[in-house]
Amino acid sequence: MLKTANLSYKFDDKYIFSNLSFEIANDSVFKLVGDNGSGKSTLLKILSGIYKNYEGELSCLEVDSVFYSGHKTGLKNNLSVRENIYFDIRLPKISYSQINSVLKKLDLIDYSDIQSAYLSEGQKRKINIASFMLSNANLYLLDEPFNNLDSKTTDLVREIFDTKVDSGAKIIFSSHERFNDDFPLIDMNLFN
Amino acid sequence: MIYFIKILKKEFLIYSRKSSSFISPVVFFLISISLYPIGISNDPDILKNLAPGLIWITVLLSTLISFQNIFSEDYEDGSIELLLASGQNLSMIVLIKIFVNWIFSCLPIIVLSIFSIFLLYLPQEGLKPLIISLLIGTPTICLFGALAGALSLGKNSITGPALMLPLSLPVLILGTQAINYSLNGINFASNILLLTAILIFLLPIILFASVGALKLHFN
Repeated sequence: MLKTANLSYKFDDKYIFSNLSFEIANDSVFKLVGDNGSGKSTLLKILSGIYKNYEGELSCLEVDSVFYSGHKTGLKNNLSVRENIYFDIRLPKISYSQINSVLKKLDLIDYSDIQSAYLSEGQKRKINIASFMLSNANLYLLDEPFNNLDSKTTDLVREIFDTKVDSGAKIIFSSHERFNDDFPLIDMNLFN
Repeated sequence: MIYFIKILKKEFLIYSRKSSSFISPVVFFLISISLYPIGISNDPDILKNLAPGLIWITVLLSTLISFQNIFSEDYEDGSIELLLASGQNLSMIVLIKIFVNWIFSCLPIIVLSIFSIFLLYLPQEGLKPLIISLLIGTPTICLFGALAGALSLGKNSITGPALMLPLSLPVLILGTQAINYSLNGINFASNILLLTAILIFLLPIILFASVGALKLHFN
């Protein structure tokens, strides 16, 4: 279970959000929505442990491993697509054959030996999706995972959400789109 | 452990493909060492006396080139965020990054410093203290470079060197002195021991401080 109580975060004496309280049980997906600057990314960074100086309470019970994916992809320009996934610090030891099977699903197999510097933003985002697919974490924190993705990959990611949740994982992701799916919402605008 | 081996392999692969990381310091070192006989004097006696200081100063300045980027690329591409979120021992990761940086930016310069025998007329008895002092002194400079790099993330490019150079002065003095002692027939072991003591003493402190500086950028 993931639980927050009166969680607040301020930057330069201005509260980004305040008194945010919620509980997320295992096997669930939550969507963070809100205007630009409402604190969606900040909340994900707090939950992932990147930001520590928050106010309020945060408890993560039964969370052994966290998979965080931010706005920045963390990809190394001079490593190939396959190498970037193989050396992804968020993943356990994986084989090239496992990577190849995921790259096939994402239509990236033809680019597997190409350095990520030469890929489009959407393809770079797909590499992060490949890592997401290969991860066996039990808490996923994804910052706008559908950005720059084509509709086919977006549908695939939604399917993977279901698979991960069925295996007992929790997923929290941020999005600007409120109404294109039926995931439970956390509206950050209410806490500004 | 598997996690740290993975990071070590990744860093080696990244540096091996980033030719500027090891070519730039080497080229800078070679050009500088070649220019001293032209710019200062071609008198072997003058160069011989100046050689220990010139070599150490050039090594120090050469390493500055590579330390600008030790964390900046990771900061810009989001890797540091992923490291912080991973919950792993960041000190160990910083140590790996410093070690790989030393292998690629300092080790080639140490090997090339042998050429100073020919270019700066350094007597052969000065070669042993030169190599030993560089092998022990440059890792300390790398530590200072990492700390300066972590503190100056996102700031202008002069901040890092401005922090690193004053900190490196004791190492510079001890390294130069070791070579001069050897040339004058004095035992230089005390200088090498002091350099070793500085390295051992500063290693945990600077790793801790560098991790703190990295975290500071996210809080």
